[in-house]
Amino acid sequence: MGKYVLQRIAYMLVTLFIIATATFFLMKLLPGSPFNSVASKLSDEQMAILLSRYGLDEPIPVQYFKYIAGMIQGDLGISFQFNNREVTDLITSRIGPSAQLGAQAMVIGSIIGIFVGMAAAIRHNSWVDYTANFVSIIGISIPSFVFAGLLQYYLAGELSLFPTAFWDGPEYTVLPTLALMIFPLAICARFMRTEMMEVLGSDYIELARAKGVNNSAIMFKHAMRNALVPVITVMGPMTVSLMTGTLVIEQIFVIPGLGEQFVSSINSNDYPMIMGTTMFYSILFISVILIVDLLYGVIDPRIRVSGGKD
Amino acid sequence: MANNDKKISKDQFQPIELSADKGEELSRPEISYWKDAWIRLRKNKGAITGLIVLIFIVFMALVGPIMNEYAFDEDNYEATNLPPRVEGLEWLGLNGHQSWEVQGETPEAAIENGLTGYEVDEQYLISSEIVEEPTEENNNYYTVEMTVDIYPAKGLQEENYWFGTDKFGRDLWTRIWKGTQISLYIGLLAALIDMVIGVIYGGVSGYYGGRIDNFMQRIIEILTGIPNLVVVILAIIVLDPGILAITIALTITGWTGMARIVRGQVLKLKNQEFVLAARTLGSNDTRILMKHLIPNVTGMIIINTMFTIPSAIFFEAFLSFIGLGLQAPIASLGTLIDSAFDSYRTYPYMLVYPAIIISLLMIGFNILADGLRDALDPKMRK
Repeated sequence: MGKYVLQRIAYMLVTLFIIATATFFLMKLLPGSPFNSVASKLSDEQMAILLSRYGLDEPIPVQYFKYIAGMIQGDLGISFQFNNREVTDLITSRIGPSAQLGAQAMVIGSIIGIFVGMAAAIRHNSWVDYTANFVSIIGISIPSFVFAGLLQYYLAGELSLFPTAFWDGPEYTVLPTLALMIFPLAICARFMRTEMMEVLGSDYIELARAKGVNNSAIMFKHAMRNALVPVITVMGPMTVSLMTGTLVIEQIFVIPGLGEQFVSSINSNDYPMIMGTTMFYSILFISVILIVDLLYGVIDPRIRVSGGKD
Repeated sequence: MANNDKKISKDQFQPIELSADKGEELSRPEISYWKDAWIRLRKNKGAITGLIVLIFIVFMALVGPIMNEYAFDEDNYEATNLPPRVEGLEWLGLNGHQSWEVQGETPEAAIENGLTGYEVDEQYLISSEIVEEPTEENNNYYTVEMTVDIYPAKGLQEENYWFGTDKFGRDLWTRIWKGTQISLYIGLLAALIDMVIGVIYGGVSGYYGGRIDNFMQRIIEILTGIPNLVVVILAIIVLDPGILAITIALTITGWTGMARIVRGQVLKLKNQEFVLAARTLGSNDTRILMKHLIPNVTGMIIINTMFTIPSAIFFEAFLSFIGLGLQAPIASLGTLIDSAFDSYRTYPYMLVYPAIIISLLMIGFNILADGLRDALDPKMRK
């Protein structure tokens, strides 16, 4: 187990290193500089001062090593566009709304999804099952930005139940959370239904029934617990969907989060910000995958993580 | 039971003459794997509905753009922001009537403001309705919803834009079906990448095993660690945003899931007798892999491809929506929805049609994929 964890962490670092290197050199390949828009107004000396201020006058290998060394120390450079603030600082100041939205959507979405999936499995082939199936197909299929548009149009526009946009208190989180949680809900419901049906057909459930354990105890104590274990594996795709989801949802609801900032930094060629956020997303994603894999092995001892899982 | 016994007399039965060679004969027609799958798929109403919806969308994507005389990038400033109008379908609301909310000190003044503001002659005003009485909050103005017959008002009595026009006066019908073509191209591309790169990579990795497998799996491990979004953003930064960048991003990352599945299956199959038999008969590795192993995994490959297609379609729409995908004047469902967002309160039709089509496309592929999984994967049989 210990060896496996170390090995996984090593791969994680290699992956991050490759992403960082690729990001850095691709940025350097780009034509033009971040100061293109002001270049004509500046004298050569001013330009040289600017370049040395951002360390852009040094040879590329030196810049590269400085970048990697800085990153190890948690320093991702200085943003070109956002008032020369440090990228790390910008990310931490913007992460709040995104994290709150992501967490709300993930927690509420998965809990509802798990219960929907359970209900579908218990009432297999009944209207409950069909409705749950329909909901999960819709949830997986309809893009979050379409769903967000519908919510904004009806719940905020026509019915005025919630604010249309902006970020100014708990009621402002309702619509974005709803729009974001439909995917976790659907995917959890789907997975839970399959797992639950398998568990319900197993011998120990039969034994519990034979012993005379009452139905709700069977469902919650025996079936649900075991069915929940594999559901952890959907955490990976879920994080990705939440990450990409926040990009669009924050744009639609005008929320000052990381996703919104990322999109605007791409549109303004703010390289350090793009590189920094890219690294941040990659670290988040890779850590989640790692945690999921390790948790899975810890929770379910039948799965020997060291054995070839594929 | 007792009653039934009486009705059936003994002479209705005849002993079959059993000969040695007939004992082995199959009494039912032989059903191949594919026929069996098709029978099961046909029984699945959802999957068949999905298939029909998809066939319809594909047909419309091919035929739709040539059904009227407008080009997808032809702007016409005489005909901007026109609501849909279809001759014969006026009763469905496709009547070319446009509603606006206008404000004024009196209801009449509000309408007057609206007519001058939108440059519409009074004779085309169809109806008006007060939606908000004056209050302190809205500066004591009335808010009136006025509906006008916009086509004749703009002197376009002869024209019919079936899905309306956008803010540049481009025909949305043509643009939407062109955009659907892009989505289908992306789906097809993702499927192709999955089936070529994914299958071959997974097959080779699983078949040869050992160090080759180990090395190839480490590459996959690193690739899957990189979020798709990151790859696409890097591709977009170097190239310009557009179909090429998305294609490259899909090519780099799209096939890893398939490769893992094929590898797992090949690992399971490669030690079975039929492979040994083929090898004994002198087949080389390529032949064993392509003719014996891969065909046995076809079911899995199809299922996985079918799930890849909708996620690729979503990915493109998502990128185009946040402005990293295709760029105007090229129409994709994502860009259409994105530009409709600016004004969907006033012109909801701009958002509704592309949103419906992308949703139908996604639902169609997802339920068809579900149905195919149930039909092709015997382990999933209920």
